[in-house]
Amino acid sequence: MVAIKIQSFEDIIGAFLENLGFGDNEKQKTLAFLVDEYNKKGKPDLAFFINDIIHRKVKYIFENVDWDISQKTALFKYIFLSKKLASKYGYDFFAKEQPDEKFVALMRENVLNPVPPCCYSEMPRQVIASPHPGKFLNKVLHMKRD
Amino acid sequence: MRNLSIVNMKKIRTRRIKIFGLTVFSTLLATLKWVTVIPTDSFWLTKFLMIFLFILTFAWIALFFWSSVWGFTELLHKNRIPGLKWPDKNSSLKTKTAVLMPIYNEDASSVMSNLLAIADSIDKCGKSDAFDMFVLSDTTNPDLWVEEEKFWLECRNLMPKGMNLYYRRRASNVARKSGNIEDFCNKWGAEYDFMIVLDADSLLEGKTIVKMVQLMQANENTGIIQAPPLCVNQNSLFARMQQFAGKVYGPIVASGLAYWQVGDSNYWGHNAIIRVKAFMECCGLPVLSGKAPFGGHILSHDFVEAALISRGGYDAWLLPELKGSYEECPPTMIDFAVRDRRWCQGNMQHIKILISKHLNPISRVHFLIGIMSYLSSPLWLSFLLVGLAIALGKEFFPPVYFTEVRTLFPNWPVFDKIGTISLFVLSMCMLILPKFFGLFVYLKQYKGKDIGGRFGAVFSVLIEIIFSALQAPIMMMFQSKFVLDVFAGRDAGWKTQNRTDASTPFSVAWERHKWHVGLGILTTIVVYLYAYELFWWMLPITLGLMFAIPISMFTSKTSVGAWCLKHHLFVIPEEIKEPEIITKSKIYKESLADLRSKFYGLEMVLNDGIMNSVHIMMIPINGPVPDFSSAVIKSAEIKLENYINHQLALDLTREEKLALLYNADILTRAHLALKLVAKS
Repeated sequence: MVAIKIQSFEDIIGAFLENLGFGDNEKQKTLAFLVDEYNKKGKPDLAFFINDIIHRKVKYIFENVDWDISQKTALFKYIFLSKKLASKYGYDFFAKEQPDEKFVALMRENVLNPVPPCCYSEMPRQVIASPHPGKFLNKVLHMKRD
Repeated sequence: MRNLSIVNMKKIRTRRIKIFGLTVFSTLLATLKWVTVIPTDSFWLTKFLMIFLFILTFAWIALFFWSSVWGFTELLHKNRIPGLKWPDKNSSLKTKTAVLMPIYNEDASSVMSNLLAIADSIDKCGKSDAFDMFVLSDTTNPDLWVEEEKFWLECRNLMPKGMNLYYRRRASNVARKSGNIEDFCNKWGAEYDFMIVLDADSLLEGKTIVKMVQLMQANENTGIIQAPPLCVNQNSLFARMQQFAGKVYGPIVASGLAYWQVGDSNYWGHNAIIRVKAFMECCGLPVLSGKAPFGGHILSHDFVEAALISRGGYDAWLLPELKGSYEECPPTMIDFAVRDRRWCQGNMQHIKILISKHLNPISRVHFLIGIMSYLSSPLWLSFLLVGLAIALGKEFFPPVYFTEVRTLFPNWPVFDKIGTISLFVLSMCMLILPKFFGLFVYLKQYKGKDIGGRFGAVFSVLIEIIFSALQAPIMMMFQSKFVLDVFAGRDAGWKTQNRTDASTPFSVAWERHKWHVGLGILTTIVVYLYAYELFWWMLPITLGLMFAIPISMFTSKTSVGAWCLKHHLFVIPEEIKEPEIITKSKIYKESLADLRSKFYGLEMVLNDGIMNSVHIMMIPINGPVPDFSSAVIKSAEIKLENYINHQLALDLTREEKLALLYNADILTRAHLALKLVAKS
């Protein structure tokens, strides 16, 4: 697994927030909130702590999207970044128990559909029957023996 | 009930009898003459071979000639093929059509710009709601995979309202293009009435697409409609000659084929519309028994699909009336040969299918024509070699004038020189006349200013004839080797076609043509020394071979192509007044080129937050993740760590890149780690 040299909690969460497009102000505010939460919860596993917050909300936002959680999380990150939502909804997303309705609507409006829903049906395999000279010869020889 | 039933079947039969009857009749007459011109003192085996090879090669020319003659008359009279209902041009589209772009390691920006231009063109017809577009990737190059995702992401926002642009990549490209299309049909085919299959370089105008859909709606029994594509957009001399030939002679050939094929036409694999239901019912391709190249997955699937659709009771139409269908031809002779190698293998594989049971006889003719397109080269070569052997035989085994049986007069060997010349002239006329038929129609159809001047067009045809005569022996040698390779069991593999202009360097030309040059020089010396009477006859062939390298290099040059354009040579109307769809595609290509970021491929996924999340989101859509060995993953991780922590170049193998690109967890962590390192 990729080893990360700098391992302090603030550094990692800070980088994580920056990767989501947080500017300095929103980052400090949100970071302070998350550090507080982290300590309150008895300093659990860092990945579990972050994923837990995101996954819970992502599941709710994309409840109608039939994807696994890693895809939904990636979708969330994509929309969050491409629509530059950090400044407007960034802190609230982490701090509020229930995400803002406008935020949810915006997220749902921008769901990416790389492919339409599958409607499986199978093409039957066709038979291309080439005459087999060997088989034909065998038949003739067999008939003679009879 | 087939649509064809509304046409008098007798009329269709008459058309076929005319073409094939005349082919057989003219071959018979020419063979009777040929029998008399073979030197009487030749060995019986060489005589037999000469006659046998003559029949095959002459019949091939005769079929092409008579088909062209009828194509010419059809074009002159502006006749439409009987049996197809032509709907009103304003008839509404009540169906949903998928436009499919199957790709394999192509330039993503070019592919997407073509799709955007097509989408725009459909939107101009006000029919964008009736279409969706699919990029069906079989790309194996990991960096190109990421590029495709990036351009898909950008281009989906540029699509007209109501039309979706979808993208999926297969993790394993089973059965190549046919498998790719089949995968689409299995997953989404049931949602669509028709599919339009494109190639990476295809362009189809919106009005042509709408017309194709209207035709499919009006003709419920039609399985396939093929719009003959015109080669455009290339700049080398070789490509511009191909484009010109396609524009001038192409309509004659297409009309000729359509004349006798009627509703049993062929499918050329792209720029065609297909009824999805018919395709799904009839075209699940089997894996042929035996090993490659004859067994295994069917390579040239298009011919087979057309045959199976026809076997299933549906019609297939080639409609020369459908304009606005474009493609790009290979820019150089060597690129052309590389493509031919793949096509040769695909067509030779059809030998096995040709004799399979329950096929429409016309489908068998399609297979035969495809096979003969390549087999004719070794046949011509054998014909020349046997002719040479006869001439050399006379040198080393002088004629016996007085046999053991006493005769009054000596036994003079008879060689009918006039007969030989007349047959040669006849063959040349049959090859060249259709070109002038094409030129006649071309000059009648266009004003001088639209084609760079009438004189330029006539002069271009004459130069094209000279160049094609010089190139013919080189292609004959290429194709003969390809056929031999296929029969020797050597697989062509699956290489991406080069579509960009790049002159052939000497090293490449030498590597590819050195045997042609050697053979040309050797034959010239042998003929000069031992069969001088053949020297001048053989010169057009030996000249082409001896000068294969300069011909190949010269025709590959874009500067020569540009010079010809400036001097009104090989000009097609599409170069004088560029169709809007081509201009649009070029504009999109330029604007998409501006989108290229400083990171490429895997590095883009590692460094760019949006691409990181989009790529991770799309991994499961591409199907099950392939297995990678732990050694590959381990080595990839070490290199990635060095890249992140020590800023070393990300020197990964293709396998390592793929292993990383399929691992969402590593990609997420690496993206975070890069940010942390950047901060420190």
